[in-house]
Amino acid sequence: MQEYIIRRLLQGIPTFFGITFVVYAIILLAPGDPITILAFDPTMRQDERDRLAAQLGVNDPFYIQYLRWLVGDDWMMVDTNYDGEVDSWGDNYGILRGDFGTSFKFRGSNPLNLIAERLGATIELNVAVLLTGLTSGIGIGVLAAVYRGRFFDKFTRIFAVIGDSLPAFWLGLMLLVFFGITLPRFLIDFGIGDGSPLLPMGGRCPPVRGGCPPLFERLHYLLLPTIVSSVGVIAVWSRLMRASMLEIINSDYIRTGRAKGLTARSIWFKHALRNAILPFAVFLGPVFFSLLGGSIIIERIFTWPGVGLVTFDALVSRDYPVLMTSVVIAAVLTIFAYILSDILYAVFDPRVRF
Amino acid sequence: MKRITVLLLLLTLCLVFPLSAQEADLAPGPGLGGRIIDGSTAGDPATFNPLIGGDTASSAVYSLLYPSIIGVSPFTGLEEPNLAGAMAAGWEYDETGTVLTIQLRDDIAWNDGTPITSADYLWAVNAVRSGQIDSPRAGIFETMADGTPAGGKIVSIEAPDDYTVVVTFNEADCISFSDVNDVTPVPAHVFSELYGDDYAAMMDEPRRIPTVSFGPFKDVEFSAGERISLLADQTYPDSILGFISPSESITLQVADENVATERFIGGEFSILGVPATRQAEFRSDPDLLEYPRFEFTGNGFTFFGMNHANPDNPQPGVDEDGNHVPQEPHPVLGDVLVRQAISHAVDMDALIEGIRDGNGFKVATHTIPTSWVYNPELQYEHNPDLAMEKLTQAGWIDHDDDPDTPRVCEDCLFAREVDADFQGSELALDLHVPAGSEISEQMGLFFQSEMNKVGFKANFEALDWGSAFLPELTGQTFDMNMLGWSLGLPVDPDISAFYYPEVDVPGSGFNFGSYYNAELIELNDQARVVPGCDTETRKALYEQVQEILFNDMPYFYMYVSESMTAVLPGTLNWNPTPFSRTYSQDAWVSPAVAQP
Amino acid sequence: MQKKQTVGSLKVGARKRYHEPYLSMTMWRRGLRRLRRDRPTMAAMFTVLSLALISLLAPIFSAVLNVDPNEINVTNNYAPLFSEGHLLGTDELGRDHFSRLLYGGQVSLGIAFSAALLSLAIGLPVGVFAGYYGGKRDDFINWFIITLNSIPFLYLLAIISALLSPSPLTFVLILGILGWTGTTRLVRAESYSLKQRDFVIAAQALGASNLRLMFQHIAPNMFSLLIVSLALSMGGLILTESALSFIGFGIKAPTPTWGNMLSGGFDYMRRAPHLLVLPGMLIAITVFCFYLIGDGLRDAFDPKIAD
Repeated sequence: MQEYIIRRLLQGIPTFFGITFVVYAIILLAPGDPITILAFDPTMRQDERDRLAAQLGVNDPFYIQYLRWLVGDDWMMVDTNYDGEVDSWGDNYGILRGDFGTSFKFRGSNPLNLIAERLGATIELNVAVLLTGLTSGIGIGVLAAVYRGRFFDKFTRIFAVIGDSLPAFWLGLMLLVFFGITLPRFLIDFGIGDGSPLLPMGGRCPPVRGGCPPLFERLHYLLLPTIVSSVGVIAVWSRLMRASMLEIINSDYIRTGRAKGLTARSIWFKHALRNAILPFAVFLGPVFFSLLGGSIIIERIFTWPGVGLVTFDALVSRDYPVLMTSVVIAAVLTIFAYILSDILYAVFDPRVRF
Repeated sequence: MKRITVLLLLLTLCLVFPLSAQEADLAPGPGLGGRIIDGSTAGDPATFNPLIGGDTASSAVYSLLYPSIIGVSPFTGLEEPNLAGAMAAGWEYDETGTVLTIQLRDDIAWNDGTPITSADYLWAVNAVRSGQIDSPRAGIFETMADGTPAGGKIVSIEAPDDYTVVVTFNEADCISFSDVNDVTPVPAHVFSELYGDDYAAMMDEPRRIPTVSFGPFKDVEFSAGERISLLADQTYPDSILGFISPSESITLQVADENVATERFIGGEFSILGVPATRQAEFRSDPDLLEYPRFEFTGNGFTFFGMNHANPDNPQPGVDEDGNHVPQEPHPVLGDVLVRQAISHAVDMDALIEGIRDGNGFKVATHTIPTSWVYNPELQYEHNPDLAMEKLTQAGWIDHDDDPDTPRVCEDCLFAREVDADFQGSELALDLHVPAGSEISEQMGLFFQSEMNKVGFKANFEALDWGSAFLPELTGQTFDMNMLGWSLGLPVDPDISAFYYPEVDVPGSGFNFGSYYNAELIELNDQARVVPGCDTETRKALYEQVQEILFNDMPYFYMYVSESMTAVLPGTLNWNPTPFSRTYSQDAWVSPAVAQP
Repeated sequence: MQKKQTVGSLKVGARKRYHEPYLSMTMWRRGLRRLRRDRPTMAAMFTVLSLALISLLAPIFSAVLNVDPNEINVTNNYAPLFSEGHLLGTDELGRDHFSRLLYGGQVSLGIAFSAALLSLAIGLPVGVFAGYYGGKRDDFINWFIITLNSIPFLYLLAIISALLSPSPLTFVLILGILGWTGTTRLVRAESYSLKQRDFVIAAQALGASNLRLMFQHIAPNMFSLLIVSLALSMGGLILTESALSFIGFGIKAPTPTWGNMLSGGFDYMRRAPHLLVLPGMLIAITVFCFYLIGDGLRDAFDPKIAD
């Protein structure tokens, strides 16, 4: 077991280098450079622009930039006063030693901090999405299998597919306008409410000083973003659960159970459900982390101050250090999630042996 | 000036009060005016330190926390003495026109009680000039502290006493006056305690929260990606009413303009800069007419840049000795007749009415209607027949008498002067706009359709800003690219940053179209150093400058956009001006925003 | 482990028929019969095919209705539905909305179809290869897929399309090259299980080459699986295209797609709701149909579900 875990962890190392190298290559070899964007300012003189380019090191060849980003340049002589000649040791340590560099756009800010200050919001939303999505997905899937072919099955199947077919940004904005403007103004005519939004139209907490109140006081801020982004999760998981339940219900051991005279309830919920969930439980990790990256759209619509928007912003303004930090964090988390799910699978599935 | 402000305000109060009698619970009073909540798409501020910041989001915050040395009037857009939030009580030049002496007010203090003096300004000047910090302002000095040239006009800034600042310029110059304002005074007693002489240390904590400030608001609270909140500072002496009416000023981040608009309509914001695509609704939608709105001509213009030089062979505008080097003309746009033909081909009125919902002010030079040198007589004439005539004259012939097919070159400029093989080529060029803005894309398409009507073969495409549009523009390999300049305050008609050969540098310069006109440069140089900076003389010179720009067309000048700001119904004392939509915010009374 | 199984099943295989086409014919016939009885799936197929057909015939429709999708007339913009000369009104530039939707459909459906096909073309051989050989080669491919999947899909797509300003063609390439991993995983698992089936082992015993085994015996048996995955990924790709348009990294003007028409429609949601509603409805209906088709096909051809 231990050996297996170590082997999987070791496999993660080339994955890490592969990802960072490929992404770095894509970013740097694409047309356009950060100086053109950062210094698109007619009041800036040419020598200032050159100095900025030298400071950020964006004119070096791609492999030098990648190496400096990865392992730093404190072991070699570099040009610190930008006169074209090397004069002293570099001061970058590289991400392998925990130095993520400095943001190009937010000069002086550590990219890790820029991401970290947003990570809480992203995790908050994704945990909510995962909880909602999985519990309803599994619940609906199981019930649909139990009542196979009946109204509930057909209804939920169609409903899940419809939910999954709507572009998330479209659904999000429609819900936002509906609960924020249309419905409350409609209700005024019936003497209900004063026309102000029934649900918050964005953000993760009310605009009051002193930080966000505890989560349970602002659950209504979570509601719309959670609904919109869990629709897809519900659709996928209810379908998977239904199929998996049906397969197991037709299997030999359940038939044996029936023959032994177990009650229907005990067969469905004790034996079948447990076995049907197992193959999916291990995908929790990857699902969770894929949500982390996929939330640019939800964050944009609902002004959710998460990692997606920072990454998006870094992409638009060519803030390589921030963009790379975000990619690295996403990659590392995903690699760990895959390893974890493999290990879980190995632990829970008796058929897998090391 | 201050008295006029108060008068104007009283006038507004008289006008507004009777109308909103039912809003009885809303009245100005110290901190009783509610919270101002603004939605912003500008993103997080990079810093709260005015010495290292330059982006819009940052300056929106620190301009509320620090004074300026010389105030710019929200009513005229020009520098005036004794303005609220500014240090200067008056200034004068000596007889050479190179030494500027600024008298400072002695009645203002930071909110910890320390008087604001010349030392505060000087500390900031020394920090910027030290070269230790990445300041976008260092270029105003002739040299940095260590003697390296910085290219600016200011030789030295000194403070003979606490309330006098003396600025020495290296030549008498009418446009460098506002450079003085590029350095924002900071509380020297706080900053020197924090950093001493180690100015570089400021770079390590860009988001340090300012503890001592001078402005209507104080105590920044910042929450990344969410909001910036400031509390009213009742010690601020320059407030309009004698106290700060709102209790708090909050800027909420919004990532999407349409979401921001809907949230404003839903009642979550108290003020909204209405996006161009949504302005028509606020003018005509019965549900939205109740929102008080202010429309003003913006401080900037949109244009199609035209490349005058051959895009296949981009060259710098000057040689090593600084002398102008003539370049190969652009195959199509190199000929002034073709450029003028384009100005006659495009119906700008239809564009402004149809695409921009009337929300734009047609211009034909780089000056905008609010500028003191604006000449309303210069207007492009929409006349497709004239356009076709000029094209024929330029050697672009409609060989098959079908206006829908492109014209071809028959003795056009490029065939005459550069390459005889160019004979018979089609009148083709690329029209590019930055992708992402619905309106820009529409305007590009409109240009394409209008130009093709007179015999062009224009290929329209929207390009990604960073990876395609900018590299092509600054690399000088474009034909016609659409762009906008937003201008600073005070309004400055100088053109040296855009049309001089020195800034024609492929890859980075801003004369990306390689435009050159010796007479224009001569006139602009003259206007810069008019003795005594006499306004009438300068205006006459700049009028000639505009005349040349109008005829030469380095750009197809399009329009100055109309901006619109709307507030919640019931907002009091909202008194926007073309130069500041929020200048009266310390007097606002803002209805409570909706909060479910 | 692998060897033991081969030997063990050979005995069984020798007794049974190994003439696979017969088996698959019955399966096919049964599947088609089920499919014909599945009315929702048939309706979805009909809808998608008609949408595709109408989009393909866009030039003819434009000619018949005498409208040009690119003709600008800013004096007649935001015309409502059923206005004179414009069946579905006009857009912000006064262009005919109906013909633009048809041309947009060409691009959107075309991109989805070609990209799904491309990812199939990459995913199928790689998956069969990995599943068939197993061992180190499989490990490597698996590692490669995990590497590619470690960067959130939308990040990677956004990064690449922001940097490359794609045309529809490069868009197809990008989507295809990034999207094959899902197919590969499916195919890999299926080919792993197929290669242990009797008919494959029998063919192997008769001396068939690896290549022949992989592509004449294993791959054809995944036909139904592939069709299902094709239908589902086409639905997903249409959504991806519209999402990228919304964040500004989709196909750029002047090429119309349903995605960029929808995200452009937000600017006019109050003034001209049809500019927002119609492309949104077309996307939703199309994706819905693709998902129904995918589900229906799976039900029809899944041998595990009894009649």
